[in-house]
Amino acid sequence: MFHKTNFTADARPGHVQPPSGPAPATPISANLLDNLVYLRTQFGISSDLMIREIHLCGYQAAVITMEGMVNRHILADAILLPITEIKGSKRTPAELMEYIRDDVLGSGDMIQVRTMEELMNLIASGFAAIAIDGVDYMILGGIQGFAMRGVSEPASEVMIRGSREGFTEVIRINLSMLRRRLKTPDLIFEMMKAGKTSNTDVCLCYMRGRVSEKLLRNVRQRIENLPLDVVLDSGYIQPFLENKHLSIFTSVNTTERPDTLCGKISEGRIGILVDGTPFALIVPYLFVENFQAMDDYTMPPYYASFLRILKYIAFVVSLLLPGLYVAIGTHHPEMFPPVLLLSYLNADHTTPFPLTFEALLIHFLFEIMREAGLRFPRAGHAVSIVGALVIGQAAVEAGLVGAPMVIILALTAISSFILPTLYAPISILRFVFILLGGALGLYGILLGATLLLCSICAIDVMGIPYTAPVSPLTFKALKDVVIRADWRQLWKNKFRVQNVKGSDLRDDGKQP
Amino acid sequence: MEKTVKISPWQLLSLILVSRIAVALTYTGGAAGVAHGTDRMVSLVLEAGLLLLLFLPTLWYIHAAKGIGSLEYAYVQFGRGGAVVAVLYALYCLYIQCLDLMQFDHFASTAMSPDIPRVVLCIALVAAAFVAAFYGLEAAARTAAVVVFLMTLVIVFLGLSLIPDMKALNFPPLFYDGVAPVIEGALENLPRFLELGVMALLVPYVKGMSRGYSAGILTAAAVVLVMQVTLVGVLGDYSEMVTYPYYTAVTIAHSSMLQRLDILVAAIWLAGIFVKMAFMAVLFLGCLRQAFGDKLKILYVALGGAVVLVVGLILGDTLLAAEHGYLWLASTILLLAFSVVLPIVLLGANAVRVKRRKERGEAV
Amino acid sequence: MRTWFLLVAVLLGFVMIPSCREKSQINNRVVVTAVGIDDAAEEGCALSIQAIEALKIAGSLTNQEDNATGLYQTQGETVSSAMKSFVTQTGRNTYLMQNRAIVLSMDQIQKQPLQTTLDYFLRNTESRPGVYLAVSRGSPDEVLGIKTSSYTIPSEYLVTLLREGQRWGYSAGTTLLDAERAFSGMFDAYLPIVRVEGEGDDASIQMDGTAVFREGSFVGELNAEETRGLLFIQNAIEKGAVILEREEGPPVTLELQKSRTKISLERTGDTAAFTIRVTAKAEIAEESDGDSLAAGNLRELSRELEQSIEQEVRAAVEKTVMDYGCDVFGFGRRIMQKEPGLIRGEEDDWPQKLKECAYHIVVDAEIRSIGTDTGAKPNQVS
Repeated sequence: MFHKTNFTADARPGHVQPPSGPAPATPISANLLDNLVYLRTQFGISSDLMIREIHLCGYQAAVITMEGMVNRHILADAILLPITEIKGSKRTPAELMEYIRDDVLGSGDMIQVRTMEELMNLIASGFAAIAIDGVDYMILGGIQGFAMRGVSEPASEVMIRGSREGFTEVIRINLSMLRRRLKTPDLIFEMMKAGKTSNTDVCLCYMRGRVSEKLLRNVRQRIENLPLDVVLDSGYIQPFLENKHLSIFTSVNTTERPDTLCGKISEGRIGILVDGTPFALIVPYLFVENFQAMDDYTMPPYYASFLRILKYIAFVVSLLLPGLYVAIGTHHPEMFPPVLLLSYLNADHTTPFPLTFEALLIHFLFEIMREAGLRFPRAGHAVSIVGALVIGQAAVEAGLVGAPMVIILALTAISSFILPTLYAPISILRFVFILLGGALGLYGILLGATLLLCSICAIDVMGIPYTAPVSPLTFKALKDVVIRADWRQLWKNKFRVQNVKGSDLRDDGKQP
Repeated sequence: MEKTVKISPWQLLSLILVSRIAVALTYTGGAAGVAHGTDRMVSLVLEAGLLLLLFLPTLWYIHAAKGIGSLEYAYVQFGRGGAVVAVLYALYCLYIQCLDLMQFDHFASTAMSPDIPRVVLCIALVAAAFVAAFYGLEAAARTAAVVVFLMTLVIVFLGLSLIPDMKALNFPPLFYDGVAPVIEGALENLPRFLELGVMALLVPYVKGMSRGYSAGILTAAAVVLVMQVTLVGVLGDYSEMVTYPYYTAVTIAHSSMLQRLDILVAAIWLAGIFVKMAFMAVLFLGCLRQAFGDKLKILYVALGGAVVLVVGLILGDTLLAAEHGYLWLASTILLLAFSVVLPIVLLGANAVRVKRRKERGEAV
Repeated sequence: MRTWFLLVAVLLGFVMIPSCREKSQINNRVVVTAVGIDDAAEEGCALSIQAIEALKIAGSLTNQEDNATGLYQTQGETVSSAMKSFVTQTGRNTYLMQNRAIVLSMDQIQKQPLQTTLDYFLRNTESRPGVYLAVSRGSPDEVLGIKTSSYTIPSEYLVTLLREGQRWGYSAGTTLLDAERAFSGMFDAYLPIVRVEGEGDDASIQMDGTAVFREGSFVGELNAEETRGLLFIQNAIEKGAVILEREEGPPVTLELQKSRTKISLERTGDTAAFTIRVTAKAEIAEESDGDSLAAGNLRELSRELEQSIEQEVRAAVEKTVMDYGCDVFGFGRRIMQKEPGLIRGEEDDWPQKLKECAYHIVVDAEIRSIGTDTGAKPNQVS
C-alpha cells in the first residue's frame, strides 16, 4: 500500500533515457593518410591539432598532438628525438612500432589504441600519438604539459587549523592528493567518462570494504546513464545523483578539500571527482552534515561541540527569525515584553509599509547587494558601503524601514553565513516564512516548519534517510551530530553511512 | 524497483504519543465527565489499560495474519470486495481528521483568539496535512519522532517552570465522589484515540507493532499524567471550569526573562495536530490508492481535503455542541468497529474460507 | 509547469490575505496596560484605562517615560459595554493582552460581587490569568494616573509594589488566577488595598490592608498586622521587618529571613482542630542596646518574636474565620483532603462550620544572626 519507488537513474520520472548501446567505433586504418584525413575532418579547422609528419626507417610516420596540451620539451626529448634516431630499414612497419613501444619511448604513460575515438580522446587529454603507415594501431605517450592553476587554499572552505590544500581543476593532481592521505590499496579510483561530446573524466573514489556495494552500483549506473552531452563541472552531474529533483535541500555534498573528501570516503561514502573542476561531489549526503566541518575534528571537542550547537541555533535564526518577527509584530504583539513593545510600536508607526512587505523588501534588497558583491568582487566594498548607508541608515532615517527590522536583517544575514552549504535553501525559505508569518502568524510559521521537517524527512538518499541518524535515531551516531565527541570515543564508533537506522543499504541486511 | 516502507517501534510509539499528547493538550475538563482533577489521573491510567485491552483483537489478528495488513487481508478474503474495506478505512481516516480540524478550529478561535480568519487557518492546516500525504508513511513517522521529542521537552520544561505556582492545596482528594467518575472519565476519553482502529492496517509496515503500541500507550499515559499534575497543581478546581485547562495553566508560566510560555504549548500542539492529520492523510491516500489505483492520487487528496474542510468548518460548531452525545457515541462505535469487529470479521472470513476449501478437498 | 503554476497561485493567495497587505492589527488598537473599575451609580461602572500612547511615542526613542502611556475614562452599564463605548470614544478597540493590573474601587466591590465585576476579564481570551488585582481607597484613576520615572509603563510600578509587598509582608499579591481559583469554591478571595498619598509629582502608592470576600462579596478589611498574619499562613512571606517594642530599653528591629508555615488538622468529633505551625528565622537588623545580644537576651528576643507572629496569625484567623465567616486559607479544602467524611454533603455550610473548629498556633522563631556589629564596647570599664 505504501510502497515507493526506489529511484534509480533509469527509473526516475522525467529522466531522459540515453540511446541504447554505444555508437559504433571507427577503427584505425593501416593507411596513415586515411587516418590523418579522418582526424583533420573530425577536428575541422581547429588550429590546435598538430600533425608532424616524419620518415622512420623509410616509412611514412606522424606524431599527433594537441597544441597547448603537451609539454614541448618532453615532446622533443622523450618522443621526437628518440624515434628520429632509430636506424636501419629491415623492420616491417609493425615491428618498427613494437620496437618504438618497447625499446625507444621513455614515457611512463603508454597506451595503445585501435579506434579513432580513443585516439581523439587521448590526444585531447595531452597525449602524443605515434602513427606509422601500414600499422592499424597507434601508440600514445602521456606528456601532458598544459597550463594549470597550482594547488592553493580552497576559498569556499576556509579552515582555521588543518591543511591549506584544495583541489585543482586537474583530476590527476586531485587523485594524488587523496592517495597521499589514504595510503591504502583499499582506496579505489574508478575512472569513467561523462558527456558524449566532452568526454570528461569522472572518477569515483571509494574505499573497498567500507562502501556499500548497492550504493556503488547505483552511483555507477547513474553516471553511466548520464544523458548529458557536455559535462563542464561537477554541478552538471549533481542533479542526476539526487532523488528528489524538486527538493530544496541537496542530498549531494560538494567539497574543495581533499581531507574532507578522505574523511567522507572513510565513512563509506563515494567521492566523485570531475576533470575541470575543483569541486568534488560526495554521496550520500545527510542533513546533519550541513552542520559539520573539517575544523570540528581538529579543535578540542568541547569547543567543536559548542560550535555545532551554535550552528544549529544559527540555522533556526537565519531561517525563522524574520518570519517570527513579522508574525509576532503583525499578529501576536502580546509576546513582546512591555518595553520592547514600545520600541516596536515606535518603529511601526513611523514606517508606511506593512511589516510583511517591509521584511520582504529589505531582505530582497539585501540579496541583491550580496549577489552584487559576490559577482563583482572589485566593487564589493562599494556595494557594502552603499548597502550599509542605504539600508542601515538612510532607509531608517527616511522612515521606510523600522530600526528593529534592520537589526533582524543583520542577525539573519550573519547567521546564514555560518552555514554556507545551506545558504541557498535558507535564503529561499526565509521569504516563504516571512509570507507565512505575515499571513498566518505563528500558526503559519509552525505549520510551515513542520511541513518543511516532514518534507526533509521524506528525502531518501539512495536508500538512506536524509534525516538519519536523528530520525530514525541511531543513538551511537549522535556523538558526532549535536556534539562532537572526543576522538577516543569517535574512533570506536566505526561509523559507516550505510549502517544508520532506516537504511536499505545496511551491511547486515537488517531493516529498521 | 520497489522499496518496502518500514517504520520502527520507536516511530510507531512517536506517532501514538504525538496523537495522544495533541488530544491531551486540548483536553477539556468539563467534557471528561470527571469531577476532580486527581480522579482524572487515575482514569488516565485506567484509560491506558483499556486501550491495551482493546488492542488484543488486533494482536490476535497480527499473530493470525502473519504480517499481512488488514487491507491486503480483506482483498485476499473478499477479492475485489476488499475495496469496500479500503473505502471504509479511508472514510474512518477522514472522520478522525474532521474531529481534529474541529478541535483545531475551536481551540484556535476560542482560546487563542487570533485575528486571522479561522477559515484561512483551517485551510492552511488541511492543505499542509494533505500535502504531507504525498511524503508517505515513513516521512510522517520520522517527523513524529522529532516532534514528539520537542513535545515531551516542552511539557517537562513547562512542568518545571510551573512548579513554583503549584500548590498542594489545589489537589482535590482522590475518589471524593466515588469510583464512578473515574470509570466514566476513562470511557469518555477512550474514543479520543481513534488511531487504534488503524493499527491492523499498519501491520506489514511496522516491525514490533505490539511493542511499539504498548510502549506508546504507556509513555503517553506518563506524559499526560505529568500534564495533568501540572494543570491541577496550578489551577486546582478551576481546571474543571475552563475550556482548555492546560493552556490556561501555562499562560501564567514564566521562566526568568522568558514570558508568555503558552506560545510553546501552541507550538507543540500545532505541530502535533499537523502530524496527527498528516498521518491520517497518508493512510487515507494509501487506502484509496489500493482500492482505485495510483493515477488519480491528486484527486483523492483534493477530495479528502475538501471533505474534511467542509465537515470541519460547516458542521464543526453543531457537532462540537453535540460532542457529549452523538459524537462520543459515533466515535466509540467506530473505534470498536475498526479495532475489534473488523479484525475478528477478517479472521472469521478466513476461517470460513479455509473450512470450505477443506470440505471441497482443495489445498489450503 | 504544474508546480510553477501552483507556486504562483500560493504566492497570490498569500498576497490576497489582508494581514499580508495591511499594517499590523495593533496599530488600530489601544494597548491597555491597566484597567480601573469604579462604581458610577446609575450609569453602571466607570472605567479608567491606562494605555500605551503609540502615536505619541512614534518617532521618539527618548523621553518615553513622560509620554508612553495615557489615561482614558469611559462609562457603561457593564464593564463590557464600557469597553465598547471606549471604541466609539477613541475609534480604536482595546488590546488587553498587555494588561498588567486591574484596580477596583471600594464602592465597586461593595456594590457588586467580585465574579460579576471580573467576569469580562475571566471570559476574555485576551486577558491573562497573571494580571494583578487591587482595591483602591479612592478612585482607581488616581492610582493609575501616578507616573514614576523608574518605570516606562506606570502599571509596572503598581505590579512591582504588589509583588514585592507580598514578599515583604505588606500586602497580598492577588492575581486573576487566584481569584479564579477562589471562584471555583476552593477558598475565599482577598485583594490588597492601596491608596494614593501626596499630590502631583510627590504622589505615591501606599499599601493599606486587605479586602476580604465571602463567596465573592466584600465582607471586610484586614489591617496591616492582620494582613501579615494572613501572609504568614499563606506561606507568602520571604522577608520582612518586625519591630519589637520592649518594656525596658529601646525597640529592636528584626529582619525575617525565612518563614515556613505548615497547617495540619485532626478530627475532633464532628469538627476539626487545626494546628498552624510557623517556623521563622530572623536576624537583628537594628538595635542600640548591646545587652540584647547576650545569649539570654537573644532567647528572650526569639520568644518575643514568636509572640508577635502568633499575635498576627491569630488576629488574621479570628478576623477572617470568626468575624467575617469566610475561608481565605482553604481550611475547608484541607478538611476535604484529609478528612473528607467531615465535609462530604455539607460543602456549602463549611465556612460556618469552620467557626466551630479549634485553631492552635505554634510559632517557632529563631534569631540566627546578630549582624556584623556585636555591640560590645571594648574601652568600657565596668
